[in-house]
Amino acid sequence: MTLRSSEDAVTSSGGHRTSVLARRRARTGFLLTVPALVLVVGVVVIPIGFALWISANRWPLFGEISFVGLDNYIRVFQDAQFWQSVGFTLLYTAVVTGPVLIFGYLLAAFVRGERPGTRLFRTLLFLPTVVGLSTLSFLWYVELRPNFGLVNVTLKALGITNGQTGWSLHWVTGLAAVSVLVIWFAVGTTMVLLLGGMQSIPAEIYEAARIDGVNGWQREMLITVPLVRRNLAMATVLSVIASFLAFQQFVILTNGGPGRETTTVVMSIFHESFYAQQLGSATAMGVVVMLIVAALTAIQLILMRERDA
Amino acid sequence: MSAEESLAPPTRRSAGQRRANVIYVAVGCVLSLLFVGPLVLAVIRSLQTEAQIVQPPNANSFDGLSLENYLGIFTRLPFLEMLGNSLIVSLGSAVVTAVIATLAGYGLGRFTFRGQSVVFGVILLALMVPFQVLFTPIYLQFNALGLTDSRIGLIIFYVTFNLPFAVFIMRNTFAAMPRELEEAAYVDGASTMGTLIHVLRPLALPGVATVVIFTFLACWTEFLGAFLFLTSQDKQTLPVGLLTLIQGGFGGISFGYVIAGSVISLIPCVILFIALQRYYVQGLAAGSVKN
Repeated sequence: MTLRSSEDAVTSSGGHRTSVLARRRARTGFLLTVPALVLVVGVVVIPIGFALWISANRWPLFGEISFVGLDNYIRVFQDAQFWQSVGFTLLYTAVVTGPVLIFGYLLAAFVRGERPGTRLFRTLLFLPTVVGLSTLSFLWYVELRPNFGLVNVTLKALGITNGQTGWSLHWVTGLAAVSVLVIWFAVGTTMVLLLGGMQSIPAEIYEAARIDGVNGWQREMLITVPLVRRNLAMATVLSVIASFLAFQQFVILTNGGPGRETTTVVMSIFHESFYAQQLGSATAMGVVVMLIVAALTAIQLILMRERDA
Repeated sequence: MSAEESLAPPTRRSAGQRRANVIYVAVGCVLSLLFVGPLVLAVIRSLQTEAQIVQPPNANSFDGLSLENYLGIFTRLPFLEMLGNSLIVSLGSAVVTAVIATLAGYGLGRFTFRGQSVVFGVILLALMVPFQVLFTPIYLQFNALGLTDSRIGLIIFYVTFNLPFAVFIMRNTFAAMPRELEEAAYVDGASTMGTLIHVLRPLALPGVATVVIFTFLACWTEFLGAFLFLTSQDKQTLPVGLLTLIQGGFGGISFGYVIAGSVISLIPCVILFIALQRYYVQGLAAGSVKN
């Protein structure tokens, strides 16, 4: 892929020569992007088309494949288990989104200035996010044990529970345990996303507000929030999508139980693919969920835009 | 926790200012403890004996700390294998992503060709499409190519889904370089790749560092893909191996082993992040102003 261009060097007088050169450079530019294109087309674009075909077939993991048209979609729409997992995942998303945004905002406001220790705090507050959700879920798993885990020991010491709570034994406690972990993990992302926006606000604006006697609450609501609106929109969309696609935290902490009560949408698709071994209906679920995610994103962006007006 | 006085550079070093700073630092310490405390606790816990771990914390919870859990995971579990798999997969993905994204960023940021925005749009598509719901067709395709239960297959999967962000970063990196550099190289008759390697490399390195650290951290503890693509035990990465452990796949559960394994998983993340923080934050900032 080395295109030597020494011979059509600099002093190209005349348009013909330059256009050859421009064409050659254009081809080089395109060739440079080919490896990336091949991967994205092979692992994203083709699978999207293939998904539509798989979902129109009865496609067991092993055995005969047969065309069934829209049957899988009809089955998915009648599948109570699947819609229960959609409902549960939406509930989980509703539970974590508010706290992730609010606490993330407060942390960003806390570390946006240049005061003693600010830089260090920025680093430390972001560490859980860097460590990653699966590792944190394993640690949380150990600390949630009845009697011995830190969570139960602390709650017992505070006189709130008897310290014997088995968090994964009921869907409400399971949801609570996962939500607390995820909020703790995800506020760092929101903090960093908002920090960039906050730091680009000119100090003079705040100075003027201070002289006008604006209090802290008004300052945030009237100045900061409108000015970091874009970052806020971005953080909200990312947070909602990530929650809706939750997988490992529930696999590790509740394994979808008791029964299938804390099974998320992605876990449902997984279950249908590799336990029920029905790839046709699993892929139909995937297509439906992709549409839900697209709709969620669109709704959010529209809501954010309306606030602009 | 108000953001009350967290702005405004200290103009006058008044007593009030000093007091505000003391309060600020105090609050910051409490918050930091809340976010880092559990990680530190995990490190301490990993040094407890199994007998201490299965007791409520008490006065002698931290007597006689030992490395027994670490010895245990390396001798009684195939932990070294898991660690090796995680390293191969993460480093492999980070390097391959960096190379492919650098080439594409060079092409998109320094050249003009027809359909350029289409090419960029197609690459960004991988960012819009959640692989968490598209894994069935991908699995079938990879299966047909013999790429399931294979670390190579997992690397291809990781590289693809980390590419959009990486290409985005590299395209910005190349677009920001001064034109004169290239023209000079051009006059000297340097080839396309020669210009990249000899002239533009120093300017591209910060972008490459961002891509490498992001991709490495994303793959190091990635769960779903590893769970999907690595079914044999000798290919499992850390998170999947730890899942096998808590679900009783290695015989009974040793909580000490779970914590020790988690601590080993988190240490590289913390070290890498602290060492390369500048690049990491730059990348996040660049990624957050996509529109």
